[in-house]
Amino acid sequence: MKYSRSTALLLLPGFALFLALLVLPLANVLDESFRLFEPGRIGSAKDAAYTLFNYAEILTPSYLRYFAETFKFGVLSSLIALVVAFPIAYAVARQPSPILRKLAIGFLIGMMFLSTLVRVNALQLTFGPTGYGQLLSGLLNVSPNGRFYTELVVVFGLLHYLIPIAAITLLGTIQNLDPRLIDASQVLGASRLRSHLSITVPLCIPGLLSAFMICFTLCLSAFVVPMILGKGKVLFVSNLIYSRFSEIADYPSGSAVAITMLIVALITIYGITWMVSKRYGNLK
Amino acid sequence: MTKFSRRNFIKTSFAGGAALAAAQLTAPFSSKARAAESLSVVEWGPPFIDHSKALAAEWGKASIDWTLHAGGAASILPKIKAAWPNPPYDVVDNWSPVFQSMIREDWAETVTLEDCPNLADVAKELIPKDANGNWKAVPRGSSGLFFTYVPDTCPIEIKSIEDLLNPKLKGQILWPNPTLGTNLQVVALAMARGGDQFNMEPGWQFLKELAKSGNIGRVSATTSDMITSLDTGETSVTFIDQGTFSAIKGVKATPLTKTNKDLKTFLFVSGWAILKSSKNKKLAFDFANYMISKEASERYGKDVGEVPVNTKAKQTLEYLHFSPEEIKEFVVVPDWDHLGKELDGWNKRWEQDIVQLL
Repeated sequence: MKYSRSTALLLLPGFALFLALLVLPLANVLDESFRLFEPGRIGSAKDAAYTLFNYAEILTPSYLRYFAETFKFGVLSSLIALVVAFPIAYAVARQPSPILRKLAIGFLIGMMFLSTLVRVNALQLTFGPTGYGQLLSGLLNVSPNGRFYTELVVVFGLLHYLIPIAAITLLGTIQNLDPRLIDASQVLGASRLRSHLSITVPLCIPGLLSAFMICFTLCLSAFVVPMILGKGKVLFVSNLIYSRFSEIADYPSGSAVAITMLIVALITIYGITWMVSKRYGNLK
Repeated sequence: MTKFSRRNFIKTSFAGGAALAAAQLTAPFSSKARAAESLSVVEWGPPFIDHSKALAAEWGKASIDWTLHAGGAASILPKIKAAWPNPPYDVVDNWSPVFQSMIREDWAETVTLEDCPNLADVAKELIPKDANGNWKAVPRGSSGLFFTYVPDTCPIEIKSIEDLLNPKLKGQILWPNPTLGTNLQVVALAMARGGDQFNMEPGWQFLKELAKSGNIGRVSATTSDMITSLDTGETSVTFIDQGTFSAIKGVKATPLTKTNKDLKTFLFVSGWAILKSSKNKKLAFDFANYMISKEASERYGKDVGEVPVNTKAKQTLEYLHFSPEEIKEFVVVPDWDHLGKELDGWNKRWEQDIVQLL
């Protein structure tokens, strides 16, 4: 009894903060999402009627395309980030020199402290009209102002911060992997590639899943990258929410989009975790 | 020389802590005192902020905390709403459609000649009013939104609005999203095809053709987007407001205000709204009054490139000076109240029908 009371007391500040900073604002957003919006006003009126209109509006093909587009960029960028980050993390984890290993880890952590605005503007300068935009688009035989090139630069923007995060997440998993397993497999005649594909990768599935989830979640909530690098042609759901809250003051519609995104993202993340768990057994 | 000891350290820490606590306890009183002698003003980025800061320094009756607009003109509204009845601003620089929103929310304080004597030199039709005819803002400039292009980088000469569909303009058009300019760019398209602000369907059809043509290279969400894109040569044609137009320094852009009757110029008023919540209204009115004096207005025209509304001030912008015949042919004064109410629907139409085609 004494134990549970002290545990409850210790958890109380955390619960209070959770309630005040997450649950109550979210409840507010949920309530607003069912309110009727009168065009020209700032948000809904205090006594605005309840309606399902804000949700019905989102369930049209044109808006579902924004959700699909956001998820497309999320999955694509997260997978590329994993493919690029895995060898980096492996090389850092297996680096025999402690000094070089510390420098590499320090560099990866340092990359995470770089402001998103700085990264994004640096990319815009590099791949925009004043940088190598003309050259790169010429090599790819596409227009620098075309949709393909714009989407490519948005993916670069996402990868810029996803790769260090994925590499750091994978570092711990790879470090915990016993290197003697690879040695044993190669002694038994497996090639390097086969050893990694049949031993390293399957044993790193939990780490890969964690890294994917972190990258995917960050992509879904990305706002500055599509806003600046997307040239107004690539819009994520977060950009739709922003324009409703900050430009049009249609809070009810913005809230409905936000709640829908939250539900869809949670279902997707739980779905992916469930599928991977089913395929690879209980993930620890 | 002072010797460092544990006792000294504790004594110093105690004294420092006490001083900090005293400062914290008296902070509300000192901030109130500060508030009484300072104004919080929301202003646009360059060239507006530079101009206003210079004039405010000459006015010199109070220190000013400047806040810059972030995003479109209406993006200040949610910030005021969130903090109402205690928003951290006294004076907000804005323009016709946003004044209408502020009037609808009953945020703008009524202005009289007694508050702002320099309003006597301003045409009364230009002063934003509520339904009862009360003056609700202090206008300082009248200006326009119009099409412009950069002859040096644009592949063709723009002679009419239909030229926007020319295949040679691939990726060359910088199109403002509906929240910039209250979607007047689509009103312009609608008017060119027989519609108007109340019948927008021809405009949306025109915009669909434009989006499918691949001529729209970038969609601007802020005025800085416009300046950067035109200055760097990324795009060469756009629909722009005079203030932003005057900030383009890297290239020579041509305003298309009197080129063709289908390339319309939409007139608006910009100026100051004094919030009802302000604790320093007298000071705020005095500030606004100074900013629309003859001398300040002339400088406004020179620095920002808008037409001052003070009739005593000289104005030099030939391309925004229209004869009565030219007004009939090229100029439109929109119904701002209507535009404000339609903007939500137009923004959704843009998201649903146009963005996917870009």
